[in-house]
Amino acid sequence: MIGMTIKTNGLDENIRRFRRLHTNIPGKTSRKCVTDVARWVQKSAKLRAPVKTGMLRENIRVVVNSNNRAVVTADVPYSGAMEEGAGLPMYALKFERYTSRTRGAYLIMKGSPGPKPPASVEVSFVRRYKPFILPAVEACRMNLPNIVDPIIKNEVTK
Amino acid sequence: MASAVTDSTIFSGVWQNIFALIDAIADPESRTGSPKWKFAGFPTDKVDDSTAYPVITIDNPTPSGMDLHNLGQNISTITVNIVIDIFSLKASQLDSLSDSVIDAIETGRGTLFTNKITNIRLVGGSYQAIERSAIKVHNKQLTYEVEYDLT
Repeated sequence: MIGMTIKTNGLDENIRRFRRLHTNIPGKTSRKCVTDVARWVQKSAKLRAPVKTGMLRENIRVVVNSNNRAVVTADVPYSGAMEEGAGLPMYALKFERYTSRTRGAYLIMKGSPGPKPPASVEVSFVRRYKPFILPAVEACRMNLPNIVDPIIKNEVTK
Repeated sequence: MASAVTDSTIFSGVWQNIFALIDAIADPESRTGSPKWKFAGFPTDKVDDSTAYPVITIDNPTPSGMDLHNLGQNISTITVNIVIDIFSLKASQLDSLSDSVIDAIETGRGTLFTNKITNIRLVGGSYQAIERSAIKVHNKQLTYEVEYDLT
């Protein structure tokens, strides 16, 4: 019978590393991921924000609330109107059909829902606004692995 | 020519060294008067100006971690992240400029090493297209990680 001894180098260190991951991933690594993602969204939103005076763009901020939550906020009173159209005037987008000819026309006018128009006229009411945070979040979702992976990889390999 | 990084100039030194390498890239549009097109942050007042593109920005370095090694003596290494953004109105130009940035940093590895910046790695990147009112801006982000050993 032949006895054989196998020695594994670095096993203790690897166990320690995995134990450290157990505490770090939900803690500081998660916070770094959340912060980096929020900063990415902030940067993108600043580039997408409509500009008249620049106040909206300059007031897009990041607040990191906890290890797994950050808020990107635009601190001006009209930011909600720009992002979601809330409170902005409505425009009637009117399509008139001509029964004798096969052509029509779009008319854009300021207005509000009134009496029902005749059947030859199709009206829909629209608001003109320019969302900037939601498109930034969507763009960020596409790039999420590229932003988060290096942070996780760095934590695992160090 | 950027100077060597010291314990008291880690972030500013890293930024200046990377900027010095990127600054050598030639303007692909060969604009008259050689306007500034490499910045520390995006010049947001020019976001709708089509003549301002392409633009390269080198963000402020951020600390990523600190490790203590023992190779006969204690060595503390600081890891720093630096993000380089490229903005262009043409997707093809965006790619060629990204190539130029990577090439500039690869070519400058020796200079960076001389200036105490080591282990330069491209660790991540992202792409987005931004619709403005009259223009579409393509943006590519390259994230580099570099190390500096404290003396």
